[in-house]
Amino acid sequence: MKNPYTRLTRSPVSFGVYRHLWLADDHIMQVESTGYSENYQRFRFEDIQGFFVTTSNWRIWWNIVWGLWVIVAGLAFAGALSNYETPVVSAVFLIIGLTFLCWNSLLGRTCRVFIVTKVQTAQLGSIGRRRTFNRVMARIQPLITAAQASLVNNEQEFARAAETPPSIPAPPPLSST
Amino acid sequence: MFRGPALPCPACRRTYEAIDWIDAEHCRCLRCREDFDFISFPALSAKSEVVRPQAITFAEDSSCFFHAENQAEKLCDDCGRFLCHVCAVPMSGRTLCPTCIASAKKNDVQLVTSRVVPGGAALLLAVLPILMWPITCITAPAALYLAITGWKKPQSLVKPRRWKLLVAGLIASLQIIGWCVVVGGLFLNSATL
Repeated sequence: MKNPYTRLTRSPVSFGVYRHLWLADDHIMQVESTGYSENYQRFRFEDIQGFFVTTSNWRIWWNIVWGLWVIVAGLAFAGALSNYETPVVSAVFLIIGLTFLCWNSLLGRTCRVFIVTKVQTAQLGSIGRRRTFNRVMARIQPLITAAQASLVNNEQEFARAAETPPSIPAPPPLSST
Repeated sequence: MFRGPALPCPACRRTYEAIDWIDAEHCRCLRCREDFDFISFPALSAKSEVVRPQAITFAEDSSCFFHAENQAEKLCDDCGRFLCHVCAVPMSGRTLCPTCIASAKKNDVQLVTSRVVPGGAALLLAVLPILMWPITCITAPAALYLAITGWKKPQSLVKPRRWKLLVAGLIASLQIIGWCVVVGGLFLNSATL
């Protein structure tokens, strides 16, 4: 049987629970996986009212963590060099720290995304970066718009009906007395 | 001042009045001071349909299975029960009654909300204890049990593959064979002595 789901995002860095976003024909599904069990949250295109996006500080915090790592490894590296030793271990640690520091910076701004439907506002933990959100939106926005096209038509009909003044019936002819 | 939709703050989930709309795409929560971008869709401003069931007017009218006083307007596509406007739930192009939705929740791909996927657990149980090999005499049978019982269980909706179960079963079997060889060798040694 063909898998009806296509992966939209991979899980951001987290401990214990992994969250992915998957795309189906008429909905998106957030999967929370612990390794032993999976929980599914579906959001149908016709029910989605909007997305709240706010910038988070995770990028700064991770940069601080990797920055401290780089400083410590850099000091060890410099210390070994000044003692005329070959700084193999500290060089490896320095490269690891620099790699993660650059990677975290290049991935772009971190964000929190909330999806608003008729019945709930839920956080999409599977989207952690602004760039990922833009990529996902570029994929699903046309699908949501297409699924809600009938709502737009209904709204336009309502608006047209409201703008058109009601027809006033012609008064009956005056009877000559 | 822009008048935006009446939505609660998603971050602090405070009152509806907490959100201050700057324009249609930007707002700020006055309580938690969080700034938001908002992307809206037509469903936000769409008028919600008010469902009103029809009361039975003639004695010959069919009544809803769940509400005897309401006139039946639809049939459940699964069980065929008569349903009023309130009980008929549209679901992926079909009309279902609440009972069918409740019973289908376990098996229907469109409705299932959680699943146990023993593949990952079986693989971890088979591989990780190798670092502390003496405990594999307990974990290997457990991993094999998970691999066998998990084979027929419904798999993950998004990654319906059984390779983890297969690998876990193979590794666990090898560990069990290893233990059998060791124990058998010890037994034979003690018997010959």
